Amino acid sequence: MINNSSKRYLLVSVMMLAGIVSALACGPWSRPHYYVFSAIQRDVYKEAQETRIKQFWTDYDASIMNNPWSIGSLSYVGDDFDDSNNEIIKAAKAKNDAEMVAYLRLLTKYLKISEEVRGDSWDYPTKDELSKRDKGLRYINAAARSYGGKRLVGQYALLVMRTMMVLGDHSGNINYWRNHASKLPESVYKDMMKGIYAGALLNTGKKEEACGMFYEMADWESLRWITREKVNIAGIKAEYAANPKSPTLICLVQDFVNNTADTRYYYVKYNFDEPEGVKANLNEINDFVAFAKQVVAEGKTPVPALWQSALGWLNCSAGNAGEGIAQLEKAMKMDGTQRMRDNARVCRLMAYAESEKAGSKYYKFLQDEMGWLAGLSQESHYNEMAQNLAYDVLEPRFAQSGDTNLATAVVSWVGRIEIPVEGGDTWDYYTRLDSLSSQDLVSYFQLLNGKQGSAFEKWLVAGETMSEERFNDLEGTKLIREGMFAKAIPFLEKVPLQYISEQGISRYMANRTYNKERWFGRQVVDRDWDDIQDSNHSTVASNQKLEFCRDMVSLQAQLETASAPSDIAKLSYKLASNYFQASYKGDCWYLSRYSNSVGDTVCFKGEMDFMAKAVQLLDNALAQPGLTVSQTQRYLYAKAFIPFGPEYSHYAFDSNGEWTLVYNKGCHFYYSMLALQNYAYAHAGNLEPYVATCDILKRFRP
Amino acid sequence: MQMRRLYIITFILIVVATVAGCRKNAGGVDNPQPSAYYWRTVFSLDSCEKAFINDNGIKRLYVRYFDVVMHDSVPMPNATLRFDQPFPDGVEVVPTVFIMENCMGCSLDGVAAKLVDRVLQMNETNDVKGVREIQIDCDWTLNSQKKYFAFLTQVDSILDSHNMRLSVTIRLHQLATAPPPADYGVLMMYNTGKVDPKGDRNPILDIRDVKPYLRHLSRYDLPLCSAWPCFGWNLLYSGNQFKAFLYDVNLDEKSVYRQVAPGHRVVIANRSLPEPNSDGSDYTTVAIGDSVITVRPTANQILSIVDELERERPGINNQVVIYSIDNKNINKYDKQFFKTLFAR
Repeated sequence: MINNSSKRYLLVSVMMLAGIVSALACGPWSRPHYYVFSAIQRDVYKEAQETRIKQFWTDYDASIMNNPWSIGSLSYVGDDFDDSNNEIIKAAKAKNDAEMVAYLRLLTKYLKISEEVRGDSWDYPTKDELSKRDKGLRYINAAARSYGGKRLVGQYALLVMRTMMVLGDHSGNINYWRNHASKLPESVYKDMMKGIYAGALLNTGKKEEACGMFYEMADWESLRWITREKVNIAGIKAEYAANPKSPTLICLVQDFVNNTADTRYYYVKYNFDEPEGVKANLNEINDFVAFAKQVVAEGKTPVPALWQSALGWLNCSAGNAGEGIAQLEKAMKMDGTQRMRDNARVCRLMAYAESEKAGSKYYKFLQDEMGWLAGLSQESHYNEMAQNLAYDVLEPRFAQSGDTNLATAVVSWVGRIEIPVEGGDTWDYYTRLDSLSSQDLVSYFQLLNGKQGSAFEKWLVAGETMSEERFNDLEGTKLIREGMFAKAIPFLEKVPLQYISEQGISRYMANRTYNKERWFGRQVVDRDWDDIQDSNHSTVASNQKLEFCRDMVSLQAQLETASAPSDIAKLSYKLASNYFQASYKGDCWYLSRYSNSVGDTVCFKGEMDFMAKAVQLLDNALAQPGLTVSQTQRYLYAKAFIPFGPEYSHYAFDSNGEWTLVYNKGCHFYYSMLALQNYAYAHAGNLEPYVATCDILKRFRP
Repeated sequence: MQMRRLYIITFILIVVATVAGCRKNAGGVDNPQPSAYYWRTVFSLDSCEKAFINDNGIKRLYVRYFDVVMHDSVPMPNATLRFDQPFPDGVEVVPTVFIMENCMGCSLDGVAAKLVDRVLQMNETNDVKGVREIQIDCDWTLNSQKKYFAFLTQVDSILDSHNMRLSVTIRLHQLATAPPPADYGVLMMYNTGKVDPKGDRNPILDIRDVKPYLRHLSRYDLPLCSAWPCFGWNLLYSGNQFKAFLYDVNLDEKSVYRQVAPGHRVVIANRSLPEPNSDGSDYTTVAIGDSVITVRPTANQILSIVDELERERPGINNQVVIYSIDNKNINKYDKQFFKTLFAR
């Protein structure tokens, strides 16, 4: 459950960022598309070792982790062992643990030498020093071998192998592992020895055996590196022909399937004009599918689930979802690791979610499978799969079919998986809410409150909340954006000032007013503070959104009843100024949105084009009879200021390779500038200073 | 009368020959030898590389010993050479140290002495005999010139006490400024252009990038020899933007790359490759629509610029250094090319 305050916290921070990041206010933003096929858990090898070592020392003495650097800093103890302040050494001494102290003494000796060998220092070793290093390593090796106890047998065995590794005695390490270390009880130290053993195998040309060890350790990075040249059909076939049980095949198949399916995904999604590539991709898929079928049929592989799921997923990727899903279902029951079967199930979910017809069976399936996936999402791969499912498949599908609540609910669901702790909204959820129309938001708010929605929708948003104040603020802002100022008032009236003061826009709201015409000057707010957490807020004395709505309602009512041309002109001008200030190009953009960027457009569902409205009102003002010279030039100036539509000019390369200015005749901007210029020529002696000295107007030479 | 005319003609011929001979050597280096750079982190020559040294009579190897980089705001050695093999007999080794330019932005107190001591110690520990010179390689600019030159003066002074000489690398853009204090320079005739953005020039060596600097050559007040590329790059671009160097890829894989012109391939499949990326990650993604441009100066391109250089500064090619000995690259050129190059 995410509480309101934490949501708000993130909302404020994303809004703060949005103020300065270009092209984000209207979304969409580029999201990663993660590889789907995962028969091996990645990123676990080193992380798991570090965690387990930390756990060992925490279990030994919890105070050690008061200084988390204690483990790493053992490398720098060197000859200062007796006077060392290292927490581990101090803890062992404090316990009078002579056995541990002796081990640590030997370990720090080794680490010192290892650091010297590894590091680049200005003191390059002499021959004598190199010889001493070797002697030291041999001494440590012998001492470690002579350990007769049981408690630290793994640690000492690791020291034996480490010293041989530094000495380059790879054969020695292979023998030691096979004859001694491999028989020791399981521990993190044994796993570290396995890694050294695998390296020794590799260094002595035993690549196949090394791959087996790396697979056993789930050292994915090493495996990928070793097999990099074989990630293609020919490589896979050759490897299979040499040894159908080779663990290397798992890595090769996984990489191949991901590369090929990813290629297919991009061809379908972005419609690249590359027929040769499309053909090559489909050929690869077909070749592999045929080969994988053969592998499964031959029965030589110990992991048919891998091959079956690979062919099923590639079939789905190639557009044969029905056949592919059936193949994946078969894979889920085949021999292999549990992860391989889980992988088949994830692939099936992806394919099903994309291809099956919507209906009660479909939603029931999704609910069951998404629930299962969420249960695995602590592991990064499954978390990424939830993101792929939500952002690449379900949200666009539901949005396209007009199921706005479903689309929003899916983004809510995945957001709580992406940030499982009380971290607030994801950027996607925030932008999704922001993109809703006022009507959509009301409907979604009802869903959150359990007042409507299907069982699947309710399941998706279970745990998601939205405070009344957030709803009112969002709804009021959306209604402003849609030009429904009167309707916005009751919502905005319920928004506490404190709530606004905690938002990133509060600093702008506190320092700007919509009552100044934008064309007569910009109201500067120092944007340097935008990205500094907690320093970008200001306490607002009033809710300017509410004041704006009330003013707009009043001005609109006055305009409707005004009959004198002069009044109509003045009211139209004032309204135009207000509309422009509240537009995304105005100083008071915060009235209609929560962020501002150079890439903004009229992009939200139902959003009114405030600039177009301002131009229309100015035209209305200019159409009134009896305008003074001062009024006319003011209205013309305002109109020419509004960057509505295309720019009035652009630079283009001419045939001589020179840049030339080209005027975009026919656009609002051009005509407005032209009208102002014509007026200025005709009334040269009677111009206001802002027109007479306008440098942009002077440069306008159509 | 006829005898007198003969004397005069003979005299004129001798003068012309002498002047021509002097000009040939005026801009070159002392004791020139066919030479090569060795720029890897482990010294180990395979049979092909050994044969290359023998066949071309390489007598001098400029071997990268280590780099000096900023580490915790202090210049420190990095990527030190590991000696897995003795150097070939009869080949003079010139230990070469590459210094990152940003090292010039901090205190260099004692670094010159540390650098020389380290090189000497590396020689001693690894039984490298007959070293008479150290080379320093740095892409210095006007911003770092003063500090770099002061540093070189210190290195030179220390080397003097060991009866050793100092050489430096010179990049084309550095020709426009005063020469550094060294016994001679090796003019790097490679990496003359930029890889980013994509253009029509060969970033390794292109006469259009070289030409603007040639006018400085004749007056450049430092003995010079020349170093020439014998390598190529596979450059990955997304649009016109450079993404990565592709070192270890099979560009003949038809399902991934489609050749659209010589040296120009378009990527037709997404692949995650275990290749270091310019963003620091270990993997590079080649994506549909990317292009791979293979650049490698041809023998003719190189030789024509060699001649152009010789015209501007006679003698500069008396010693030719190739960059670098590596069987992946030297096999890409005809054997005769190297013979011609070293004979220039």
